[in-house]
Amino acid sequence: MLTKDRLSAFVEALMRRYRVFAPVRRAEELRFEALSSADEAVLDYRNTLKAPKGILLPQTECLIRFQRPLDQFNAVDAVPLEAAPTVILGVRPCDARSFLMLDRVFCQGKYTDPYYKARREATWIISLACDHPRPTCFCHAFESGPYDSAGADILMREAGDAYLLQAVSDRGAQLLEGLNLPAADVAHLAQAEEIEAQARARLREVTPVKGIEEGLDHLFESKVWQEIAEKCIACGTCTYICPECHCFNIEDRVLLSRGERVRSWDACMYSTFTLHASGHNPRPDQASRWRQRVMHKFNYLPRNVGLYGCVGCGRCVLACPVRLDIRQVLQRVREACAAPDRV
Amino acid sequence: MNALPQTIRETIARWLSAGEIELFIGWEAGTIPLRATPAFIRKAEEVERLIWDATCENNLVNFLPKYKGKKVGLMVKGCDARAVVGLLQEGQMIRENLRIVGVSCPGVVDPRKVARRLGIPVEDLDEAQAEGDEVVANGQRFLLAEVIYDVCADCRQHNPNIYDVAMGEEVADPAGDPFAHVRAMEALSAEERWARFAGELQRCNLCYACRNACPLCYCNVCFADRTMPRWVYQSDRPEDVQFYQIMRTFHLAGRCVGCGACTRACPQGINLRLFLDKLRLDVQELYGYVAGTDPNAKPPLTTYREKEDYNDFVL
Repeated sequence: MLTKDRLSAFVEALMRRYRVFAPVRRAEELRFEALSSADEAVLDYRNTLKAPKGILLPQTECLIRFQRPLDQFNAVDAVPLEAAPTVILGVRPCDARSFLMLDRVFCQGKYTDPYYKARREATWIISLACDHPRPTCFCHAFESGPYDSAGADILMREAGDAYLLQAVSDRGAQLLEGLNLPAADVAHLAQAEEIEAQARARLREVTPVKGIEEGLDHLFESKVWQEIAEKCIACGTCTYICPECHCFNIEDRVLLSRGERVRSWDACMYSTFTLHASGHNPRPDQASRWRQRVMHKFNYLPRNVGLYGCVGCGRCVLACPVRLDIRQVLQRVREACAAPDRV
Repeated sequence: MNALPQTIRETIARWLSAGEIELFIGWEAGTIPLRATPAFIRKAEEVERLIWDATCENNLVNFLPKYKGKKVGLMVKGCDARAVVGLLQEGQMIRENLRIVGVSCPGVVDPRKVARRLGIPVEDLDEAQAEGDEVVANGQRFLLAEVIYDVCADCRQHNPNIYDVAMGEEVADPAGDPFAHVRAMEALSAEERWARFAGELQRCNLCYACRNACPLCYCNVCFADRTMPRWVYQSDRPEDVQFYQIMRTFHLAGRCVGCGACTRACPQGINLRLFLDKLRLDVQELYGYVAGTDPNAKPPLTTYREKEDYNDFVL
């Protein structure tokens, strides 16, 4: 148990041992940043504009540097892998779950991404249960909910004048041990349970997502994609703020004799996405790009790594400049699955 | 939200059923508060879905270049109408192919301003709606005029200048300088101006929402998407973000109609309009030209006259 008057001291204790990321206010935006002082951390919040994925997968990252003095091709310098011990504090359960899927893609499959992995292994996630889900939240459509501890090392929950901290993983338990917090008392436990029940009551009714992958198997050639994509203006907003989107681009930037190989976030909504050097693009229109977005998140990923590419945080619903609502897209997909128009 | 007046609905339905147009683009209710969503109507009976109120912020002219050569109808506000004129001037559209419902618009609501009044982040605005000249949000009432976008507060053309059918009560255009925000920026030192520019763009992720929401950004392949050569890299580094925004702004000099679609689309709330308005003011002062007002006028930056330059050595 951590009483709220001890919160600053708790964050300071973490900051002595770790680099601590937490939601901070920058102008009107709440965003995850490395804390420079414990008081900057904002835990009384609903969610950040952008997901915290950028801490582990930066939007722009230099992979190697190289030089080409005269006519030689040499001097390739690997960029040292960054692995400062890091705590991400106050992550919402939806975002904590997103790391499970990113881990499977970047660390646990056939290929390992050393850049992501080095950061991931040095990172602890302290999630904060979500007591005021927004009307756009649909985490509970994914067999999850605002108190889901999956993906976190420690789950924090509200208990009136205190937070209750519960170790979820072994490394979370080790971290917690070092902090010497008192055990929770019965009164606070009861209060926490009541708060959780209230939070669950605030959730709106949603249709479970499970099973949608089977319907999508038959929807590749459907006309529904054209219909869904019609109002999309093809910007990268939804993918950039998404906790799960992880497609990237790698380009060499060369200036005179020096260069660097840079990885940066890509977006399946862009006309340049999967554009081949020949000029050919297998996804030549917005309909096929939307098909890719939905298929990747709700068919390929569950089939390939066992998790959906969406956690139901609702960020894209709120930020889309034309209000193309992924929940409505899924509803439309379900209808199309029920009556496929295979052509 | 308000359904369209019956006469307008009947007109649009007639255009569709008579084959005068194959598609009508309007607005319909969205799923989040204070933001309607674009609606694409192909059947006369679907006209019932269309609405008009202060939440209809999207400039639908942005979609027109996608339907080049097709017969399309759409709804335009005063500012959107200038974009139609801009596209006609640049030969992107044929007037005969368009059926336009022009709406007199008192301004559209800025959800960020409403959220600011309530002391909450805009994403936490759970319940809100526009009701006539008021906005009701989380139980509180605000005068619409106090929570419209800055671009609407500076608007001097509330009534469309091009349409087939007009809708709504005419709105009087206020007097006053619509470029006060630009003049305030101009009064700063070069260092201060750069700090302001770079400061705004610190939040830019290069998601291209500004470009993609802009009705005049219709290049088949934008310079930012070219890979051979690569003019701008796809990253959030300051040099890329600043270069992209400068290039986009300059490409819109004398073409930007000041509708503010870019600024409304920006997920980060960046004041892009400030930079674009600087060039609009320059073009107005240097050439006496306002983009989007006269379908027959030649945009100044696409014309060349001998002896026009004040330097002797330029022909």
